Amino acid sequence: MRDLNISFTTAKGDFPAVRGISFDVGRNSIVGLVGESGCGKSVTALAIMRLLPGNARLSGTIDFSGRNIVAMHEEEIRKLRGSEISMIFQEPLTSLNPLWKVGRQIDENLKMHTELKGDDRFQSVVDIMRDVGLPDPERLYHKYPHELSGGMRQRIAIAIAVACRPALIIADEPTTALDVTIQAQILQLLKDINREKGSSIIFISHNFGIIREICTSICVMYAGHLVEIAPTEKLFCEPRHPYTIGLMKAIPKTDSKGKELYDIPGKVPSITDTLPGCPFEPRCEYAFERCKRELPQFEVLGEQHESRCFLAGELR
Amino acid sequence: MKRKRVSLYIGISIIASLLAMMVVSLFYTPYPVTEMNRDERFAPPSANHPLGTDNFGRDVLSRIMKGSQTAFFVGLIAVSVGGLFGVLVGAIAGYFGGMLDEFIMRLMDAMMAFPGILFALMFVSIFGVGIRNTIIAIGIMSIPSFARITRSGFIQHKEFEYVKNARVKGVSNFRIMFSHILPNVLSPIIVAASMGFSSAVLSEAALSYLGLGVQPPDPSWGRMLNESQVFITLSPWYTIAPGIFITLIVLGFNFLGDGIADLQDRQQ
Amino acid sequence: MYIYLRKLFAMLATVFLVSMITFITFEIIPGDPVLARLGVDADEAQIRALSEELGLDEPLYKRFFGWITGLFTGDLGQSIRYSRPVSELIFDRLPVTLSLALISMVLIVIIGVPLGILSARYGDRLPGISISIVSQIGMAVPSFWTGIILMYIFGLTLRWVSPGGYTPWSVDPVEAFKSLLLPAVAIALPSIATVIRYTRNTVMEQMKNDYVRLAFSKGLKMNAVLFRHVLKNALIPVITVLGMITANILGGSIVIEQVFTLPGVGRLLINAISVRDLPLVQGMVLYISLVIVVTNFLIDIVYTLIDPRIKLR
Repeated sequence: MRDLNISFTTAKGDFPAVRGISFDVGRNSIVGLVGESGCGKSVTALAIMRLLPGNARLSGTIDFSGRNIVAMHEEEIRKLRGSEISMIFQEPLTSLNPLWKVGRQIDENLKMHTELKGDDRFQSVVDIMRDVGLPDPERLYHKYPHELSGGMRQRIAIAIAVACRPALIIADEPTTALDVTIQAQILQLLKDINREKGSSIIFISHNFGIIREICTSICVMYAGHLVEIAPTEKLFCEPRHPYTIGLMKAIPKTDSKGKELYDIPGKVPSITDTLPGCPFEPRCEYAFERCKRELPQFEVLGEQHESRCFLAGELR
Repeated sequence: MKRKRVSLYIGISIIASLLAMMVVSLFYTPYPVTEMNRDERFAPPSANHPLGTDNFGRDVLSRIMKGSQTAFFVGLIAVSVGGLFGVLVGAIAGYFGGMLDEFIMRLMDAMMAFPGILFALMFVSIFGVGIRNTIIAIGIMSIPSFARITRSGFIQHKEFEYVKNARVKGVSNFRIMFSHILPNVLSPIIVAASMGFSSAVLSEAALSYLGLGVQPPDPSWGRMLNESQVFITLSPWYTIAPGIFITLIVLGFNFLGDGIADLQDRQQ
Repeated sequence: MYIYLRKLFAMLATVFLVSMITFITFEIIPGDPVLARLGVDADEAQIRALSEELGLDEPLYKRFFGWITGLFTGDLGQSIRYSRPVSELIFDRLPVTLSLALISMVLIVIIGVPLGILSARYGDRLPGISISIVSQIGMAVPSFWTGIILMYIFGLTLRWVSPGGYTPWSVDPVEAFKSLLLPAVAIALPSIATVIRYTRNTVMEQMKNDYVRLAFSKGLKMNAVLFRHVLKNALIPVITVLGMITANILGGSIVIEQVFTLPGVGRLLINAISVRDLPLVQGMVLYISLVIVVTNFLIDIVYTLIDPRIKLR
């Protein structure tokens, strides 16, 4: 992805939702997109699949194996959906069709993108269900979503996503709606899929703990901008953007019992506030005059580590 | 965004025009409504008679104008009656809840499932025809929709802070219901009233068409349709005019109701 | 299984309740059917004789039981005007009204639902808005006026069908259908508009759901998403409204039968009311109420068949 800009056209004018995002997703990597609600991470993900509403305007490039997704016609991107790129949504109860048997919902993918027929296809669905950890798949195939538990439903959603062995899976907060114990299992499942089936994953979340657990590299977003991008451990050990630093401070640690939790002062700007300079400036404790006027460019700090701050090199 | 206001404006314009026509008719019509003119029977629309004449040579436009009085009158009274009782019933059901609520709602559901016209017919078969019974029958028919809307409003609001505050202060239930909650629930009730009006006009027209509603000499668009049907080959405009006006007034109130509803939606 | 039995039982209870209410309603009537028949100047003896003949001098509870048992045997009493059993009169007219209702319902579903979907699909663009406007007008036009105009255009002017009157199915099915088509259209029009509106709203609501997004993310085309996934979900609320539509159709047919002079139950009802033939009115009110109750029951059953979430309750 290079210089992706997404804006929404409404009766009241154009609103930029995402500005100048650039990052790479390599084979076998799991890239995390992290940020507070409203920072544009979901919108970015939907843009990759071109599933944004009609009033969205995209510019920049999204290079997928040599082809630019932004420039594609609807027909071209439609062929990629489900087969090369797929998506997992946050709430499995509403993302599955309540009136269809769960097995059939997985089957639909295979029917559309493969040549498998009848029994072969049924067997494939059963195998996929087994792979994602569902017990007794032959029986489960005929159940409806409301008859399954939350964790099982999300496994079905994952099964749908991996059915055709896509090169890229976009997971939008896949564990947020689940119990903590189930969360761990689902995360492990995604890691296994990444390793064994070779699908890259873009993992969206607002929870740093989960991100650290599963991602190989992380993109931190704020108010539609990408502010820092780094390999996982690098980000946690050496954050180089005031926002990232603030977020790290805010994570409760085991030894912070009894101490006050840190909270970044101020609040996230709304989509209608467009500032000429750095979006984080109003809340930044390191901010100076230039930050107000000028949007910082990316400072390269090392291997695959970039930060969008004038002080990137000096922060500790 | 702007598009939604269109409903409201269209509704207001139509109703305002028809209302103006009605008010004018109270004082003046181009021709006396009962004046017959043997030489000009079944005349097509002309400068003299913009809507033509009927089988007795009476001016159709004047009769239409007079008929609007009945339409508005029946609509207004029926909706007021239905609205009054409907809101009362709905408020009680929503506020007090429990078995009372269950019972009232079952009753309302049964009433809504019954074809309105059948109820009106039963009513006039028992109590007789005429404008008064027509209004009562239509009024009763409109009770369930008011009751429903009021009830859901009350159910919602009774959980709000200001109600709890009032109760703690010792305000009587009656006052809470009608001085505190009711004003807040007014908007959807007004929408229901607008829709109820158009429904009432259609019902009255149907009843009068069947000869079981508004009786002569009271004018009625519905009855005019009955009278004109026999002569349709001789003067189709006598049939067309009342139908168009009924459609217009119904459209007007429907658009009005939709417009008000959209206004509410946007405020929220 | 239990759920069906429970619903059946509820339906029968409603039927009983409805008959009781119908019976009671007509008992409190001021005015005397006997006098209506014999005229105001009838003498005592005649009044008594007729009252006895009609069973009007029996105590109330006896008459009620008679009424109820009569329901089971299909005996709804004797019409004062026609001197024939009420049930016989109703049965004579049933085929007309029922065929009319059926044709109307079919028209409503096959025209209303697709147009509603179309209107939802093209939501804010021209086809969507124009369908909305047309349906607004459709709801505002009084159905009997539509009937008159249709009859004028197609019956009197173009002469494609005979203006009014009815040919029984047994005599000539094609003619029968032709004589019922225009009335059915007149009845159906306002309900078509309602169904279009309703369907449009539910489809647009459904389109906002996550499973629709997922369906697109699988690579499905708009048509496939609409018809394979959204439709079934959207139809559930539409089926609910069909119950109300049934009541509309039956109500509408009462008036339309008058417009087209069809020998149906509706017209019989109007005549009965004009001459205060109360046993007849009573019988027909009961019949119409029963049709509604049974139809609602059937719709309820269809519900449970379509939505797997309901079975479990």
